[in-house]
Amino acid sequence: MATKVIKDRRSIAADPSKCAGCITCMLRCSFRIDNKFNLSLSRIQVDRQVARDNEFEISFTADCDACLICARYCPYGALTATKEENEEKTG
Amino acid sequence: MNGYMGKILVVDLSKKELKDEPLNEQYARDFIGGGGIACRYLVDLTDEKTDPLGAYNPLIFMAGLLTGTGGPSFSRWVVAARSPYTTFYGDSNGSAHFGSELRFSGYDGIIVKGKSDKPVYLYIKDGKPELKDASKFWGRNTYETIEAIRKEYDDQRTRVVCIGQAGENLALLANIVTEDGHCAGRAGMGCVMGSKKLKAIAVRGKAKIPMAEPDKFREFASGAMEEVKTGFVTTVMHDTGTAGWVDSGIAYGDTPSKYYTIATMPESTDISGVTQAEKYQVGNTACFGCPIGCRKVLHIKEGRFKTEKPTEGPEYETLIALGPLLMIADMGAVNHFNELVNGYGFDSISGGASVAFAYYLYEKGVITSKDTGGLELKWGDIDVTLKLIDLIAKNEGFGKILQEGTKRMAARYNRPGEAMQVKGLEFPMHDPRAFCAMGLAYATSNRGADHNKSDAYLVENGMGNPDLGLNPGDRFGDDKAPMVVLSQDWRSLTDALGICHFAMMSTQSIVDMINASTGWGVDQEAILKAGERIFQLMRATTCKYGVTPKDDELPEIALRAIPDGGQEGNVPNMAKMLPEYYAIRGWDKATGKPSKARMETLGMGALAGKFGIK
Repeated sequence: MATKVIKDRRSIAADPSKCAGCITCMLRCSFRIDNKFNLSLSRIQVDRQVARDNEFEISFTADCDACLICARYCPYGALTATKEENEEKTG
Repeated sequence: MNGYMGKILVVDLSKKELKDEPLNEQYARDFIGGGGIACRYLVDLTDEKTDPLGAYNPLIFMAGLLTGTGGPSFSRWVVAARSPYTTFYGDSNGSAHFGSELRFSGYDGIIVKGKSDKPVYLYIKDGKPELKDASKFWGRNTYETIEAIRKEYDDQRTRVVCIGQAGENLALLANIVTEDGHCAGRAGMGCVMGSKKLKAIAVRGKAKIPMAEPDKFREFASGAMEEVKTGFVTTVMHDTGTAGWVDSGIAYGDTPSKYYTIATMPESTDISGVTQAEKYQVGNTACFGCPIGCRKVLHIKEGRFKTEKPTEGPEYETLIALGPLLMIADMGAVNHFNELVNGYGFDSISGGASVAFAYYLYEKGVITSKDTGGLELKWGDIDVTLKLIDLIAKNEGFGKILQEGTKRMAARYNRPGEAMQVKGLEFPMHDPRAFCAMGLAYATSNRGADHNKSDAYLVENGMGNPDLGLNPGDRFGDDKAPMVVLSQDWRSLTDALGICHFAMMSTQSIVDMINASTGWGVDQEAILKAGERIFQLMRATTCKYGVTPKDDELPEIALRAIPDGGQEGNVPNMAKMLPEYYAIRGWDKATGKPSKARMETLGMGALAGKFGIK
């Protein structure tokens, strides 16, 4: 399970088994960054390696700052915002 | 040009020319997007003499105005041409991720003209289009083609639309398929694509959709997203998909069975959305930006048709047309038919209806095994159905008859009035004897019997649009003309915007998003008028291609009462509803065309001459 944790103790946990591939997270992320819908700017990436596979891969780019907007808009509960992460785990 | 990419690609396959053109700003302003703009270009490029399979019939792909933006389920795209299946106006509406990626690749739409002499596909990356050799993909089914093209670029985010063998073999009911079995299914658009030897279009890009007020758009889109997420339709569609309608349909007598001769096949519950959720569902997939996720992934683990891996299950329409309409209620079999039909690339509604009509004619002794190439057609026969699906895709043997559709079959076998179709397009799987408004919707829709331009059956179930006064009434009533007109105008608009029908949000949210995107400053009245303008443009176009008032009649078989079951012996009162509808629409009783006065009211007075409207 991909997890993005940063120092101010915000984190996003991704559960690909719940992802339906709608990429609302990517849309929202790109819009936050550039005020335009542009998936190439998104700091969360949803991909499928095999066509028609029900499993999607979710990853975060290095410059993701865990703003949580993707988790806020995920309609399928595949992204969860957690604020209780232990600061020790970050890095 | 805020709200639009502002550019279309014009491809001439005969000359192998690719040319960028600015999107006609006035067309965009008047006809919004999707089918509206596509039809407007069609008016420029065709006339009554245009051969649907000739080089001069263009195939036009167009994204909706809001497609690719961050609103809920703003994913739709339209493909339009003069239909070889009906010979009238044809369009079909598709989803998944093609429409959004088309815009990210730099274009609002693509107009494909001419014919190639050998198989080609069009690849667009970041605004750079190329025609490529497709001979290695020719002969392959849609799933294989999409995957092979993606492998070519090592990129699963390349979004592809393509034809299968049915389109290559010029089966008239061939469709256009995109990923996960999503189709632009109706009116033979895949046959037009096949006639051009265009196997596929693949798009990829990172262009941005310009907006007048991006911050406001984000705010409105967030509100709309909440409305859709918490809506009733979303709950049902999320849990059971369109198959969730089966149980309701059984209760209402709305799931056509045994070629419309019985109200319900009791065993239909074996293939219902609830049964699927309990026994077969393993997940769902969603179109671009969609919180609903109505597409169900099924795994049939047992029986003759068990699958190694999960597959996208059949939609409601396919489930019934290739199920109870043929007296089949075996989930494994229907799931397998769905895989085959989507792979071959043909319309499952018209295909299922043609097969069912053949069973019906065989039972009546109108056709025999001499007509069918030795096949005995018996209700519920899975093996014979498999053979017929194969023959349709190959366009050979008895399949050559079936691919032409039931209107031509009825003429061939001299059974006029018994083919369940309007304007040559078969009824979808909502019986007008269960929801009488659907009778009027089928009779008057521009491409033929169409459950999408008026979803009156949903309106009657409280899933209309209260903001517009689209509220439920007596489902057997004959006061439906105003509701059908309004719902058709509304759906013409939402289709032009690229919004999924299941994404139920307030009209104000839609108005707000249009304005934030384009800066137009329109209100609800103005956008509804645009919806009517689009509908009437398509009407004038389909009349130009030959539709007359006699093509607005339901076949006699649709008016045979079935007393047992949910229809309770009702039939739509067309004698009352159709003249009322004509009056509201301002259609001439003799020609069926919109009046000059109505064209002028809608700002289309200058086009009247082009349509022979005096």
